Amino acid sequence: MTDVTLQNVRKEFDGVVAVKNIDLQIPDGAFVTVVGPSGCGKSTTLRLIAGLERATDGTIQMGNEDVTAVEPKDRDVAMVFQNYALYPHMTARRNITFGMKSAGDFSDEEIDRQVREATAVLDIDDLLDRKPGELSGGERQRVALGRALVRDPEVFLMDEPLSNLDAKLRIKMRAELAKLHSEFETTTIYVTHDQTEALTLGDRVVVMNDGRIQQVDSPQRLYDYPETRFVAEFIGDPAMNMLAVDISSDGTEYEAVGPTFRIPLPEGDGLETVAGGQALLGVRPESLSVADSADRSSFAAEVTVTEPLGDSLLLECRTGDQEFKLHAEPRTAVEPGDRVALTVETERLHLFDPQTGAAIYHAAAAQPPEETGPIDSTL
Amino acid sequence: MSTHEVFTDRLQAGVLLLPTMVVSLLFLYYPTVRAIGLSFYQASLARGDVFVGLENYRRLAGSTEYLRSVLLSVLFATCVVVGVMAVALCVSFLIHEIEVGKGLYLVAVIWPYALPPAVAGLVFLFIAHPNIGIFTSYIEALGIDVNWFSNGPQAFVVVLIAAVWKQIGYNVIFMTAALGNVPESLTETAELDGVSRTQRLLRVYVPIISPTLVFLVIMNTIYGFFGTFAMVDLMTKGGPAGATNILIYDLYRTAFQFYEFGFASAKSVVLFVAVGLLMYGQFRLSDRYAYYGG
Amino acid sequence: MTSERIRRFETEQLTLHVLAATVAFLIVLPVVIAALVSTKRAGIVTSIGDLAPGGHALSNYRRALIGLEFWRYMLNSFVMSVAVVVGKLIVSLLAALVIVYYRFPYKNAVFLFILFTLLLPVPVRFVPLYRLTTELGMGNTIFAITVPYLASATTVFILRQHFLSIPASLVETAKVDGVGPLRFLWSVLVPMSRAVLVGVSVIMFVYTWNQYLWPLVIINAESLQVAQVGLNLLRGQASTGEVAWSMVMTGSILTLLPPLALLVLFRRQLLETFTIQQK
Repeated sequence: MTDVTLQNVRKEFDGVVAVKNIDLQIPDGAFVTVVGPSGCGKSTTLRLIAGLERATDGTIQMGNEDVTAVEPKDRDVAMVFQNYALYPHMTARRNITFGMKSAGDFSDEEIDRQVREATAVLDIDDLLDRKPGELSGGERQRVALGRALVRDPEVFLMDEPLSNLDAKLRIKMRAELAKLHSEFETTTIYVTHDQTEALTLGDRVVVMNDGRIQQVDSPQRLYDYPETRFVAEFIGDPAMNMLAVDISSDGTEYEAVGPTFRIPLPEGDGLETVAGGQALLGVRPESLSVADSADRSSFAAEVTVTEPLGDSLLLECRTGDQEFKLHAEPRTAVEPGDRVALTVETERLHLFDPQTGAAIYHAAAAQPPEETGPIDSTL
Repeated sequence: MSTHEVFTDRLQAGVLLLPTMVVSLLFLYYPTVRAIGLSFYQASLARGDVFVGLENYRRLAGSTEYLRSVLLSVLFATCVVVGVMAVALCVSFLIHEIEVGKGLYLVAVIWPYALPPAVAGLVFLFIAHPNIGIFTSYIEALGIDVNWFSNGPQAFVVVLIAAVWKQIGYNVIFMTAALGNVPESLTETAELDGVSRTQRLLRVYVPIISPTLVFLVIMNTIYGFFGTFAMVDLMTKGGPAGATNILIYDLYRTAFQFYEFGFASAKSVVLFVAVGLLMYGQFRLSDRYAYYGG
Repeated sequence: MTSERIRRFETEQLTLHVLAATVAFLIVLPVVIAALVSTKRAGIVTSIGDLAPGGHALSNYRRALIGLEFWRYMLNSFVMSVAVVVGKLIVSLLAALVIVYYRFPYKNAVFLFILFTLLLPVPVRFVPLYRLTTELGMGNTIFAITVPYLASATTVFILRQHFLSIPASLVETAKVDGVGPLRFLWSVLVPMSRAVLVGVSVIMFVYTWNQYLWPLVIINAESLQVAQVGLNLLRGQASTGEVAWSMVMTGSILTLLPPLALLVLFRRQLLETFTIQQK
């Protein structure tokens, strides 16, 4: 186990910058997920840590050692790939031991013992004599995990390891990965494009976009206090609604004013800086609801589409020329074309700078919960 | 951004490439360069080399015999290409259309790929022999005098048939593979539209497999120029009266019967330029047909 | 389908079978004639009636192989072909490994340098090559008919295409695990490329076995000559008397058998490999 530190790391491919001078600190024993849209640089970052790519600039440290120029095999990392990367002509057992034997750092007894332990944990003991072609997708990924486990590396690197599995199996394997990590407590860096995976697995989630790190935080804080418009819209499904508003103030009270609504904003940091200016009002779909009766913060909207999801009713609405989505109670009697009155849970509002996308204000910021992520508890 | 290129040790790379590079340089590039050099000399093993400048090329340009050999080779190669591809396309289509038992027919028609040209030459020399050939009496009964040992055009045709026969297998291999890759849905659409079998071949399949056909035109042309050397050598020795004296045979005789290495080198250079132009032609053509996929 | 349509389909298929069988028969016929003649004492067949198989198969083949020493030419051809196949395979595997799995400057130039040799077939360079091999003291030796064949753009190209179709994550895993390039080649690439390696080996064998022009000019000792050229020598040696043609056909069948056997045995791998070559 070790910690990993990236300082000012940059990677260019033939003049195209894939990773733009990022800094990242991954504590010893953490399970860090890296999430972002495709092409955001997350896989390149992982491959830089693995040593499969050489950084154009910056340094990578593991423990106290600068590994920027160190060969992958000397970094003591193990990697798990999306397509499992199993050798099709070798049995599961040979797949697991091939790398160890080739590297020559392990004695035969050690290899045997490690294989026995790892395969017992992964429950693949009776699959060892089969070839990958005779295994299901889930079994293949277990074997690939086994191959990583037996080497008892300092760091696990996982590149979308569950993306080739079907939805049900993905959820099951997700739980098992979490269990494995709590058992071995090996530093794990996990790249995914799936925000659910990122939030459920990571003690700490790194959101990347366009080669830059947008935010590093615990899953709940990422959801509650997105630092940028990108994070706000990327995390959460359906995405956070963004409404263009003017911020009006009478000196003590603030309001977000749109063409058809006025929404009061609870007092908080940042409000005075935008008073009288324009901002984007961020409202999550679950912070809006259909009102029984109109009050000061409610406003009227027209329903354009209804999508019954079972546990809730997703409504697409329009007010003025702005569109947004909200989760209503299931079985609410509305149809496209209806006009409804909506209320806002004002403690869950956010304001973003329309130009830079940076967060200006979080309504709940008055009492942010103390950071007590599992990272600290594992130490 | 995953990549196959994970190894970076340049010294290792150099060492592993060395055998291919050394053999290529020594036995492929160097002789070619040397042929160009030698083509400016009057060279023979016995008398040593004398620089003659462009004399060999002047001689080539002025030689009606060589010009005849050039035209003959072009005609021969054209006949080989057209003949082989027409036959092979029909055969491949036939096999493609058969539902059950394709495999057996396929083996029965692709085997000439393995046929040594020397064997093809000797077997044809035997079965088409003017005096003792097995079919000679039947053909002569039709009123044709089989005398290709002395009749130039007949000799040309007999060598041509042997050459086509030997090359069918190679063409069928590529054509059946290409036909097999034509999407089933296109065949079904054509059938629903009531397109006849022949129309389907000419209007649907041929355009789709055109990249393969372009590739085969080039391979067959090279075969027509070079691959038929053994047949000419064993069946006609370039005769009668030069009727089958294709360029490669002419070159062989210049070098190894008359020992005129300088002159032969000039002829080699001409051949090299011809191959280069052919390959360039294929490159351009397959570029043009690239949108059909391949 | 209605019964009428089924009947029409069956008639069509029957016609196709008859046509295909006829074509196959015509393509096989010359060799069948040669095979029949090789069983007869006198090789003179001037009508279809003469084609009945003779009873001299054993004595003909024995005479060709032992009496006229055709075994020597066959053996030389074997040595040449096997040496070229094995040598070319090793040399090309190493080159393809570098071209696919190494990162180094001017890589494209190196690949082009190898591909460009496609423009230099034996016929355009055999005259200067003759001089070169003679000067190197290799004339009239087994080296003259093997070493110049060892570099192969075609084989390198086919192997490269195949390697590129293997997921990159396999070599990345190997790299992270500390598996070296040669071990990766031997333990991963070679076992994963079996069909293609068999296919290119058949292609190389057929190509080498069927070489005629180069052995003809560079080898002038009969004891070192290959089967293709040996056939003509056989014709000369047997040309006294009427048995000549049955001897020549016997030799022809012997010369055809090795490549034909490989083609029939490994046709699946061969066809698969040809599909790669064209890409």
